[in-house]
Amino acid sequence: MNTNDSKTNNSNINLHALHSPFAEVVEQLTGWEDLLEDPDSNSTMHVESIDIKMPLELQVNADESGEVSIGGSAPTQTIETTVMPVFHRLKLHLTIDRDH
Amino acid sequence: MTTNRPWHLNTFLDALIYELDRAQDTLSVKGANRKLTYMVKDMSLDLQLFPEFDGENVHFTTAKPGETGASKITFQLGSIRDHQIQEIAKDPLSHDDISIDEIDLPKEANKTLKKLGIYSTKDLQRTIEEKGIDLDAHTGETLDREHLSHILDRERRRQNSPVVSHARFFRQNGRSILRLEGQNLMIYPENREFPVAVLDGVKVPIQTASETQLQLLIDRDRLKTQPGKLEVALDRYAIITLTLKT
Repeated sequence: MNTNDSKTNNSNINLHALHSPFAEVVEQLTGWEDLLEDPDSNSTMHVESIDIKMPLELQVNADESGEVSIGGSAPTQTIETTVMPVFHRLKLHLTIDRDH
Repeated sequence: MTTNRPWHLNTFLDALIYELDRAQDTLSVKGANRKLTYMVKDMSLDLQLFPEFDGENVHFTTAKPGETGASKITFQLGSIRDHQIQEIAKDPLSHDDISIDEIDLPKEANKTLKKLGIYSTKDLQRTIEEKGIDLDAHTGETLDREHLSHILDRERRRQNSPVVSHARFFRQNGRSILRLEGQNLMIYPENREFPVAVLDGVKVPIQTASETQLQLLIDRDRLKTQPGKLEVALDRYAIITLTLKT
């Protein structure tokens, strides 16, 4: 295999590894279920609602038929270099799901 | 390498909502096992995009690293519960409805109707007949009225199929008359071209025609030697075929 090809393939793999399907990004941001327990006073606290505002890297892939898939991740690069990723912005408002 | 293809807003939103639904499904499963789970109440997404207009549609290209001057578009999505979805969502196409994509309509008319939120013949019927909306006033008369009224008539016929429940001969003033009784026989009384009946290819005079009854002047003696095939066109969309024997 030629060296250039293998480099291209590797960069492809890395690119996809950096971005998860958008659903997984949201799932990761909603994992706050643990109760805050104080064994001494035997009391608990929980988070009632959460507001998240964060920069987000997005990968919007449209295939030939026009179908779109969305991948995303928190910023993969924080040190400013000559070419920075594009940061979009995500705001999520999470509340306790009392209906489940 | 994936290319940075432009996309349409509705396909992007479909994909975004699909991803949010998937996340919500996972949270629901988690909720079955955990006491405390969270739901996404609302979400907003600011996107760095390059919009393009090709003369007909707007599509967007996501800004790539190093590209400057992108426009910012904000999507605000709120979450709704199942019953709210039922309240606001369009009913799915039912088996007795026809999508306007399946009707032989000029492309321009199809597009104009969709812009007005009319996606099926039932939508069209509701808009014109039930709500009495004058489409010409909203479309600059780009729609062919005659074509639309055919579509509506066909739709009305589709919902009101003719049913013949009884057929019998009787004599009146020395003439033999076949009386057909049923429902939805004549549903366009204003249309004077119909009904038309032929027995073995020969036109048969019609004495009376109404929604529940048709009377045809048929010489019964003709049927003594062999059965006859009677065809009655009730309108442009419905034909009844009967085999008559005596």
